[in-house]
Amino acid sequence: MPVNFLLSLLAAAVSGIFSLVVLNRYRERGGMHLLVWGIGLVLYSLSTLAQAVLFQGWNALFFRLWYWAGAMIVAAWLGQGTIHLLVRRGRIAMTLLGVLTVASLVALVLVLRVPLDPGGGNFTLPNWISNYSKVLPPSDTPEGVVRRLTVLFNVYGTVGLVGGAIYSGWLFLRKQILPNRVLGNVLIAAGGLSNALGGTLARLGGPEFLPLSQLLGAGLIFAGFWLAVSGAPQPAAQRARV
Amino acid sequence: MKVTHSSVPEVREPARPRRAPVPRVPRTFFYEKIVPAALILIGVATLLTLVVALLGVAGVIHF
Repeated sequence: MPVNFLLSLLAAAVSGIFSLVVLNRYRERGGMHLLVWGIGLVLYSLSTLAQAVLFQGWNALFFRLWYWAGAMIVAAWLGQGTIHLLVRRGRIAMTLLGVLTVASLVALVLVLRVPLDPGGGNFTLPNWISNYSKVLPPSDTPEGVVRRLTVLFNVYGTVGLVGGAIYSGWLFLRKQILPNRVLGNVLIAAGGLSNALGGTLARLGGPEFLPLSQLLGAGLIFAGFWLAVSGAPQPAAQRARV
Repeated sequence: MKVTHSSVPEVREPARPRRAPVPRVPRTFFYEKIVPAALILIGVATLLTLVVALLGVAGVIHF
């Protein structure tokens, strides 16, 4: 059983549990950032689960799901959650969410229509990720637009998630308050970087590290989120009830 | 009868729940040196990753 199959399953489990925690928090407290993060984490879990399935053999539907949810849009949705948390002025965040939603749907249509070529050694077990890019059309062809779009989604998401976490961590550090949020944001930024590095390495010919980077990313972001929301100051009366 | 200020029943605002003091960042080597260095390092590494990704889009590096 390939190690990357197990790492993918673990990443799916961690991100799945994380999505339930975040969506449950949204149900209790509201907050658009929690809903958007929750959607992003569901996409994370679905894509890593599809990735694990693909370690068992070729399946066009799971490949398309893996590419759309994981390679393309997951980072953008996680980054969008952070943008909702940090950008409270006007309707900037909601406008960006609208654009992201439409772009994600367009990406879905493109991924469903793109011709795949799993034959001729393009999709081989045990480590299919090594050759995944050959399954898709080259990026300089009209059908290869999905690959160019993937980079743009990921740049947007990484700037939102990692940039937002660094900004928040730096802000709390400068104000010298809430050490749990300082450390939480460091972990979230490190998790986002892990995902970005894994994705870029995969595109540059080092895809073996992708499942490990995904598991590390999910674990670090989960730990950072947990740390940031725990120990938040509450009214004394409320604390007494707990 | 002259109404004096003291005869008006005093209306008290309901007591607000007291907020716990906001925890302060400890003045330790870890928070003063390691954490800022980690944030800068993550930021630089992320920027480099993004530059490589954008060079890919521009066709300088082939993905």
